[in-house]
Amino acid sequence: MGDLENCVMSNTSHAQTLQAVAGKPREAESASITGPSEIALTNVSKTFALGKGQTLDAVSNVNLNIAGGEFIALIGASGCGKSTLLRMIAGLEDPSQGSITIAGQSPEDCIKRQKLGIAMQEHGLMPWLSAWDNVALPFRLAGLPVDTERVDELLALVGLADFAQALPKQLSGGMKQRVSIARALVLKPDVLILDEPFGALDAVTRRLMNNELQRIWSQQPTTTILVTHSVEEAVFLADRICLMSPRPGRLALIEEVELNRPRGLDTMHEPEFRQTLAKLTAALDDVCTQGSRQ
Amino acid sequence: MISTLKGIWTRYWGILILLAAWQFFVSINNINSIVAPSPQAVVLSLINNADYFAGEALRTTLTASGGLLLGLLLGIVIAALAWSTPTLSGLLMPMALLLRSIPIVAFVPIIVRIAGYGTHTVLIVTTVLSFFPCYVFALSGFQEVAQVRKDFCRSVGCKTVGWRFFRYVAMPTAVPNILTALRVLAPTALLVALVAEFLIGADGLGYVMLRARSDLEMDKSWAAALLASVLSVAFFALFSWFDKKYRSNWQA
Repeated sequence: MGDLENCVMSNTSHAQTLQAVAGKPREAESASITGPSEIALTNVSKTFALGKGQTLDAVSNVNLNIAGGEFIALIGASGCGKSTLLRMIAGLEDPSQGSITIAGQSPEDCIKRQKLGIAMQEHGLMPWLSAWDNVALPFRLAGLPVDTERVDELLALVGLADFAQALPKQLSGGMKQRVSIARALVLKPDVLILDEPFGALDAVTRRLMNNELQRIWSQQPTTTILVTHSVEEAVFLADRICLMSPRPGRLALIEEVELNRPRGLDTMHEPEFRQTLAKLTAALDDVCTQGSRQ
Repeated sequence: MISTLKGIWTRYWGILILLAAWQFFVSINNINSIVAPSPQAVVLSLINNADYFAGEALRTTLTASGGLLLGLLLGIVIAALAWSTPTLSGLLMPMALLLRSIPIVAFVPIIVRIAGYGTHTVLIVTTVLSFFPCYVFALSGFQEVAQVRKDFCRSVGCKTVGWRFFRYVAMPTAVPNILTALRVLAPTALLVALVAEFLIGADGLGYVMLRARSDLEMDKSWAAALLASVLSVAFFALFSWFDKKYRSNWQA
């Protein structure tokens, strides 16, 4: 356990990360617009009351700095608190202890200024609205005039321009997730929060969707936090991967992914990809078996 | 054409058997038409007084539809108020429940004393009795928004209590519930209007039954009853069709 603690402590490597990625052209570009969407988690903990005096420590003492424009993946076993951590960053849940700031402000403020987009495993589209109207809905809910060009642009970006008038029931699972991602991006958020967006899809569709997401993300540089069960998905998409240990959820390991962008389907055949994948899979297994022994 | 007829036969042959048995029973036993008219006499009475029956049936249908619609609107508006202010819901629910628990035969004479004898009173009775189920169905519909949709709304800075959330999310979510309420209530509304007409003596099929009975014109009374059941079934069929047509658009 000492090693793991050490690993977390030594990872105040935020500055290092910035330096490390400065050489890559895309990162340098996003670094210029980043200031506003930097995220800082300081000593964040979350405890749930289970009743009869019992409590559950879902997230314990997480410290993490995320640079503007960075793509972070959170991995870990089921119930390790990664979704709770994500919900806290999204302002849907308050931390029991510690603080979260997005560009120096609270997640609530960030939400009020429509600077946050979320897409979940359950797509949560409105079944009575067409794909177009679903993507336009954030404007209406926020009380803003609907920017029709932006909606068209987003639908085109996710490759659904021809399905603008289709109802969700007429779309496949992958298409619904793409609508959901378009909806999350339509208000030009500074932070994109993805909770297992492709968790319910089959393996092939999932790989294709990851490729799509990678393309979309590179066209709309946004600070992105992805929660996933799939190590492969995390390695393929992220700049940095945070591995969480279960109960209480802690950051056990933070790993940088040194793969060049843009990444494509062949990236998965590169030795670098294989190595990182193997390393993280081993670390994940390690953390999970330790958790079960406790 | 033949297959349609065959379809009707396989689904509704029970009704035909019933009619045949009724005709057979009445003719064999030579029962006086004051006691029980034959189906033939009832149908003849309908045909011979077609204009009269059509006018009265139309009146009942309009009153019932009007009451149903008013009850629905009232139910939705009050449910929206209860949804937006929980304190108000504590006041409204017991009141609505109380109103609903009064038996119609006790309720109608009270309303008549206050509102007077006439079609408008029938409208009031139908509205009041349609209101409660619409209120309950609409309110539970408004409250059924899935957590993932609420989370999404909050993520774009829309509180899950305000008007915009109601307009764009809660209200549409309740549509399948409101369709169900309409489907269940439509035949009831027609029968409630009929009973109210009967008790008040206001024009419509209910009054036709009342007068025909006192004139011992049982064929006429039965014809009115037959017409009322056909209308009631038609109402149910209409709203079931409506429900079926739109409900599927609410499945994700």
